[in-house]
Amino acid sequence: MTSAILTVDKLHKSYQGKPLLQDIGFTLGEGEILCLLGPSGSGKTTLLRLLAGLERPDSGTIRFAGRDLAETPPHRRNFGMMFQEYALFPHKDVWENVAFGLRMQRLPAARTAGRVEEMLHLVGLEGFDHRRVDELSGGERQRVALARSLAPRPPLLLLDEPLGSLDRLLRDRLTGEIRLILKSLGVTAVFVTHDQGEAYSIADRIAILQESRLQQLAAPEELYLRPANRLVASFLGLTNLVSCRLGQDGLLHSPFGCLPTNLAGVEPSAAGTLLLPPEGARLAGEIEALQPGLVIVGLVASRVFQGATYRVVVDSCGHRLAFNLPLTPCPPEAGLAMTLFVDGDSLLLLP
Amino acid sequence: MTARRLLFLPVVAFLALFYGYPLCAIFVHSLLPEGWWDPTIIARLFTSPVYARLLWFTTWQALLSTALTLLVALPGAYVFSRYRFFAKGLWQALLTVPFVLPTVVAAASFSALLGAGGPLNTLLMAWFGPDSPPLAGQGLAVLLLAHVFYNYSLVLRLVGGYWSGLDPRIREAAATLGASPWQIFLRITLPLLLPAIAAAALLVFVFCFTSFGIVLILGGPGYATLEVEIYRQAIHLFNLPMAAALSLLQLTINFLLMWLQARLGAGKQLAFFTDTARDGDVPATSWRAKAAIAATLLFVTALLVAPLAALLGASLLGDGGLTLAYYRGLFSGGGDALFFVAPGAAIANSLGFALGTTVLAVLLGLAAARHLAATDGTGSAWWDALLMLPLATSAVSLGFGYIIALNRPPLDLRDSLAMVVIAHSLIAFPFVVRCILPALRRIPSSLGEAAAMLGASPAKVFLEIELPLIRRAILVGAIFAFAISMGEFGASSFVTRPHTATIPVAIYRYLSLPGEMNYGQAMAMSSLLLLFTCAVLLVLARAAGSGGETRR
Repeated sequence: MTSAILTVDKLHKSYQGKPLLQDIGFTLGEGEILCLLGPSGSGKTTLLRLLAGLERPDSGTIRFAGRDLAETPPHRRNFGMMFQEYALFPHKDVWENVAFGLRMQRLPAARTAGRVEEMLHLVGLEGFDHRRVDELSGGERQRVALARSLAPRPPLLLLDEPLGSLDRLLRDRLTGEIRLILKSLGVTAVFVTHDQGEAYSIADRIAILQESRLQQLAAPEELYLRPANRLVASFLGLTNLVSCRLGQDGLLHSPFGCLPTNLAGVEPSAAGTLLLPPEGARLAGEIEALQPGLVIVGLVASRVFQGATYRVVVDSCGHRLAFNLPLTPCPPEAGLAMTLFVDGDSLLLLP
Repeated sequence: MTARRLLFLPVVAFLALFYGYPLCAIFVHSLLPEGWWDPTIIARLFTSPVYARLLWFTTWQALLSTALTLLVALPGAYVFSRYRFFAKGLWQALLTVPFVLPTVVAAASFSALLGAGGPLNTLLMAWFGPDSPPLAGQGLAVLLLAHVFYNYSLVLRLVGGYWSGLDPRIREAAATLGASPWQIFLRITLPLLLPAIAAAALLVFVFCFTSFGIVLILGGPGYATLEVEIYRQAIHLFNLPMAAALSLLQLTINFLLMWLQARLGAGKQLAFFTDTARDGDVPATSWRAKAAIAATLLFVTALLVAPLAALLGASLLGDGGLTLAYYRGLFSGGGDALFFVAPGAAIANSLGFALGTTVLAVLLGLAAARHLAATDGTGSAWWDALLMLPLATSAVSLGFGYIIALNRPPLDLRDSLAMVVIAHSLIAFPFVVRCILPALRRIPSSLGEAAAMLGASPAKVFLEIELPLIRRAILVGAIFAFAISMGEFGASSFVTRPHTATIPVAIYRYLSLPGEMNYGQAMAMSSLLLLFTCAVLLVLARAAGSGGETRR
């Protein structure tokens, strides 16, 4: 990562008395791709629109390349933006759509034509120049929108769920393509999505927005392995959360047994939440008793074949936990008793 | 955003000056006729039996007209929404003619059909041999017939459009649950249609209650509505305080009716020129269905085609058979045009005023629609209602308000040609807003934002994105404004001067003069206006029909 080009500080925004964003602050390096990830209503689109200048913050600053953007209207920011439903101009053909930003910059006709051609080549739409946009498929529209937003060489590209309206297959393909294109151009980008998979495969870093606050900003692996709190963990699908407390004996007490506090990542504190990763469990054998870990004895609520693994939901001590278990040894089917061992090393203590 | 607000200010100023101010003048003239509080004139409205009878007649003729219209139009609505038949599109196009047909032309048509020398009387005299014409060209029956003529297609379009929009699967679902066709109609279709029928009925009532040209020309001396009485008091008797008092009464009732309409949500059903009919119709198979279609089309022919054909006939038939003498007379400079404008000049006046109205109404309508589209929530609804007020205001009261408000400094427009253009624009601009606003609202806000992100300033966004996308809507609005101005009679009868008379005003004057030549010239002018109206409809159908690209 090079030096910070975008700096957001103490951003607040509310609508009709309801806070949409509270105390948002982060920096973004040149050429970096940041994903804003969060459930709907978490304020991620609002944050993107604040960056674009389409809405004004109640307080806080947005600085780009050292310049405060507070008084700069959207059309003078020179940022690119890709909208959710692409917002292609229906009365203009593909060529005119892509050329629009260049025309607004009053680029000479010859250079405009050259740049449009270059962009259409980049997104693989050569020869589509004079197609009407309503004759295009969803994927083609998405490409036109990308070409249009990239044509004026924006120093910052904002993407608002650009793959949201496409079907799964196309989405997976374009996700990879977008990252390749953005990286090949070295564009700094902020990408809004509610889809984890999309965020993991596109972003350099991911910002989790939830309940109008920035909960965590980290690289994808870091985020998944070390979610900052319960909220982030549950949003990422890490739902095996059990409460625990630090006892007088120096051990961490959980419903499933005690653990020494010197385990990896475990910082001693009075009370907290223990995260049991879905991949961290296996059927208990005999040797396990020797290793530090948790032993879960319970009834199988369901067992679903998922291809590479079984998804096993187990009820134990009033908790419902879900794990991905290998195909062999085959876990017991629903209604039967089961004993699982969770390796102490895989556990994570959350505040 | 701020530019939008700024552009909205002239609209507000225009409404305040040329709508609010004349209405205030009416208020002042009726309650403070000599400059101080004097309710005697208003009191006369309620104590004198003359005015009670006037109000009573206005009400019951409107009620009767509404009932008659519903009676004949509801079966028609069923046939048009349910069945597919030969040249249906053509019939539907024909049914739109009364929408833009000037009242004066409609009145002239019925006068031509039912008048002493008209084809019906001639036929009846030839067949049954009475010495005098058995049908009267004026009177209550003619008046009611003309109201049905006007509102038949309105009900047909409103109710029929709504009817064909009903999901046929609802009926099918009821049928699978064991409902007979009659039960389905009574328990499913009718309750669903009721809001549309109520809205249409109220609209028809409002139109008939404020009917002016029809009653003035076809009612004859015995029949006067409030509107006609306002005109009589102001123009013939020059009793301005009494005219003002009547106007106040008329305006109050209008606003009450409009409020009622808003409560019923009737405005929402009122799409002026949108395609409401879907492709849910089926070809007729049973003989009963075929008979229903035949009866409906026969009725439409008798009601709509006969008077218009009679009008064209009357304009071409003189003593010695076919003649173009009346048309030639229109442009020959008129020898007896001592008191008023020659027909040719009236046509020129009308065209000039219509052009001015088009420009002004479109500019105002565009500014207003852009403001409404940009604001949302209660503020928008409030402005929306306010901008539509001129629609509910009687044109006669408006015209009357102009001559008592805009005739002295600081705003003396008595001799200004602008007065007519302003009055017409005020009447036309709500229609323009209604044309443009839906098109503007159809544009997703993200298009403008996308353009802004690509570096387009607000002005550029308007020119590059909005304007091309609403071009057709503006065109339709402009054509409407032009047609409304060409046909406007109520306000024009007040605000035109003898030398600035418009075609409808001239037609009315020629109709009220004795003599075959005058009558023939009225018919010729009416025919021209009718042909013009049909041409407008053709253009409208094209402009609205090929608007596919804006509908995304």
